[in-house]
Amino acid sequence: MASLTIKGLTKKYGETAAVEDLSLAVKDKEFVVLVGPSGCGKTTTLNSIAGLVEIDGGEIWFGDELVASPEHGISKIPQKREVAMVFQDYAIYPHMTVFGNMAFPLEIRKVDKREVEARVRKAAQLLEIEELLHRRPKALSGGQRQRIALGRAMVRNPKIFLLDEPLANLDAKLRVHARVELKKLQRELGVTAIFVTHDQIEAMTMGDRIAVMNDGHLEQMGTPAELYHNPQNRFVAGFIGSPPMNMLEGKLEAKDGQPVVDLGFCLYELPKKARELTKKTAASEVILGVRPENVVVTKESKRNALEATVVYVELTGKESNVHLEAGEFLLIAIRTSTQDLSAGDTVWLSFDEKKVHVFDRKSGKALL
Amino acid sequence: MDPKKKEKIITALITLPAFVSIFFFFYCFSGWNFFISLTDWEGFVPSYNLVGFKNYVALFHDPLFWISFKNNLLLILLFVPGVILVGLILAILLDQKVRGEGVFRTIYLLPFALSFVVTAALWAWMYSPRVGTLNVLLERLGLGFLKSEWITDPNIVMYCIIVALIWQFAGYSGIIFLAGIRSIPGSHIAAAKVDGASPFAIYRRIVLPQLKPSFTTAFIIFMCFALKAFDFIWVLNRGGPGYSAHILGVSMYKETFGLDKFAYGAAYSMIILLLSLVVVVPFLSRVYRRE
Amino acid sequence: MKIPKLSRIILYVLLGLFAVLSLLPLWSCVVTALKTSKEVILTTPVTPPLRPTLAPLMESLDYLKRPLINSLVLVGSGIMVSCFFGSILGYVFSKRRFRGSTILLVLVVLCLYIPPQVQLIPMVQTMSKVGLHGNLGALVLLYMIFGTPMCAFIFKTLYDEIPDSFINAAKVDGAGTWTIYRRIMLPLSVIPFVVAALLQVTVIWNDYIWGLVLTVGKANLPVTVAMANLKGSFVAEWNLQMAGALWVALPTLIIFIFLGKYVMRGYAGV
Repeated sequence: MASLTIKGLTKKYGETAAVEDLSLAVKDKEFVVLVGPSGCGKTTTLNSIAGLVEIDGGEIWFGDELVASPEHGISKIPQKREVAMVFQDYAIYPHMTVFGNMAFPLEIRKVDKREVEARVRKAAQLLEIEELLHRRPKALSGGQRQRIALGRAMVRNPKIFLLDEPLANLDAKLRVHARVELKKLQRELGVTAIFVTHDQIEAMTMGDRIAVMNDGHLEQMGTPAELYHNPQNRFVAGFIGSPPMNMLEGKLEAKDGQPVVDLGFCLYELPKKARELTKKTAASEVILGVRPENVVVTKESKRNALEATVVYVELTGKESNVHLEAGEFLLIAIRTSTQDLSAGDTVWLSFDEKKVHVFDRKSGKALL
Repeated sequence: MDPKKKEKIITALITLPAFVSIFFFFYCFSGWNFFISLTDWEGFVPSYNLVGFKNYVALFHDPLFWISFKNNLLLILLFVPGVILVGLILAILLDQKVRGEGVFRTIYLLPFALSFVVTAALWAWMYSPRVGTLNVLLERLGLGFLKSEWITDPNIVMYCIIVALIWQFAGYSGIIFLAGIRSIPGSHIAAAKVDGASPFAIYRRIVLPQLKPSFTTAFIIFMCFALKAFDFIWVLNRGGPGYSAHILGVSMYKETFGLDKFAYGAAYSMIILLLSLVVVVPFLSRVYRRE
Repeated sequence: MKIPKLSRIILYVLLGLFAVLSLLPLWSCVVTALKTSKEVILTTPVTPPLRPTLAPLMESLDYLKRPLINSLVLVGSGIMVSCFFGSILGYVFSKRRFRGSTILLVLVVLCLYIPPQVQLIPMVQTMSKVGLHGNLGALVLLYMIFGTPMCAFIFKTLYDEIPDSFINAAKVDGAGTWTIYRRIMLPLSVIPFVVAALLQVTVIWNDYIWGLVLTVGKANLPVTVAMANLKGSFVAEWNLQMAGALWVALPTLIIFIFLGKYVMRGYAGV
């Protein structure tokens, strides 16, 4: 059973906490992505799991085994943790051949030579780098090196795979292809994988579940769909999805018993599901969130619609991103037909009722 | 055994011989030397009677000490800025996209390859009053009035030494500054050029200020050299004529191994150590404080 | 043909001038070493000999034969230990940091600035006590240890250029401290070893004070001490002195000329 459980992980550098009180659980054979902006602590978390970094608080369990816990004085050295790791720069040793690189972890464990050969060949076959086995890494491309790094990780048949932004150094086209290949590989090998990236698109396309981190904390963990449709706080809502969710600051009030958000230049009526909102919460400063694809742009005025001016229309192919100004807010809406809109037009924006979010401005938590 | 502990022990084991020997030969020796300076040891048989700071007091009343100190000061005040200046000039010249830069660099560095005894032999020949290179050349070039007794003249021997030492270290100083100049991002220079700055202005306003680390490194290295110099002056003329070229390192050697006054010589060397530490410790603490 | 700009001309004139100044004493030395005693008096110190002779070189070589061998022994034995120790210390300081390793690093680097004068008396005492004083063994031991701080600094600086991910990858793969050193660091250490060794060769070969203080008797002298004696005893025989100086200068000059780029890497880093 290759599950991973982290409880209350804390890692400090001097006075600042890179990771604070982080708890998450990874299931056996699951592909979990740790995603967040630079400095959010995702690499520190990965390094803590690998044992490259000594944690200051919390516990790390591999299945039933406690591998790290400062309170109990336990900290298994990385050499003994039996995880495999792929680094951002791949760390391919230049003085060994590709075969040598991949055989290295087995040689250290004094595995029989024939076994080593067999395992390396099998991994190389799977990764389609068999012809490279006797070459030196110096002349090889980024994509090839990445596969060598994967191969080196695979030969030990580890249960847990750690990957630190392994696609960041590949060019865009290769990256898309590599994403698919990597996911396929993980399924085939049946290993548990923890994948770190700052790219939320990568997270969304690859993760079985995603853990969004920010400033050393876990913001939310869930499936891509959960994070996309039900973000629990403002950060996750704004981080996941591109173009990002539109955020409108306003005041929550009750008008004739109905909850509305005062956006300054107009009042927006919240949908029926928000009926109890004004009674449930004391918060008055809120943020109204709606994703660009849920903003409907019409030339005719509609009920509960906001008046806006088109600033700029960005054609992205089959769709266009329409940049709008409503009151003092800048919004983006996604549309499929473009011909009828141009900069300066006055339009009306309505929001899909089912897809509207409300966040508490101070705490960031989702209220709706 | 706990694997973490095992790794710690391995690390300790492989570094222990090196650390122990360094600790002994540098730090224990320094302490031992300090201890000796507090004794009255004179002559072949070591004596460990402690006499407090008597040797240091005697030192400060010793005219030879003050002559040596004064000469050392002269060395520091003229040699250190001199070699830094020449090095800086060489570096700026070499930075000009010169054809054959590698050849010039190698040539300028050659004097640094030489042992001080070789340098002493070479410059004894250069400075020889009757048949030496300098005087003969000056004569032949019609500049005979510039001839001098050079290192046999007690009034100018230190200056002759300083020139010879600058000759020896100029190339080394040059590569320190050249490395410094080359580490300045090309985009800084390019931006200044686009802004219309002349080469002179670029060097003065952009390059020089960013060479502070090189200046500091060079300063430390050459200061410490000036304090501990011995080889060159000793082989050149044993610190002569008379005592005119004695510096602290020379006097220390003479007192210790010439006159067998070991405790006294130890006191000399502690002064040299102290002066070196005053220069080096602030530098090192600043460099490594960040880590 | 384009007339080169005035400033470029001045540049090359200045460069040439400095080159002449750098080489003048050496040129004078070479030229004088090849002259007979008569020619030394008759010609200027910079004109080449009309009738070059190898006699001074041969004669001085005869005098310096044993010291040259002594210095070779010192260089060979000294670089081995100091480079090896230096490489291990450099590895630990660069890749295997622990609490207090920075302090230890500072203490090691500080050794580079400790003047030899404070070590003279204790060293003589120590060598006497172990019975090595006066012979080559004392110097062998000395150079082995004294070279270590500089080598440690060179190795640390060059090891810092190896990405930490190499070490981390090896750790995750199961390699312990010593295995990482043996299988990852050492194979990547060719250049650091060359740089450290060349610097050590220069320092040991050129050293004078320790040879002066710790060896006794003609058979035990390193070449620098022997040559300095040569200078002292044959004051007027300039061609002989220059020839002797040339023998001492030759090995390091050759290193600086043909392996200069490695030497500069070592010095620019310090």
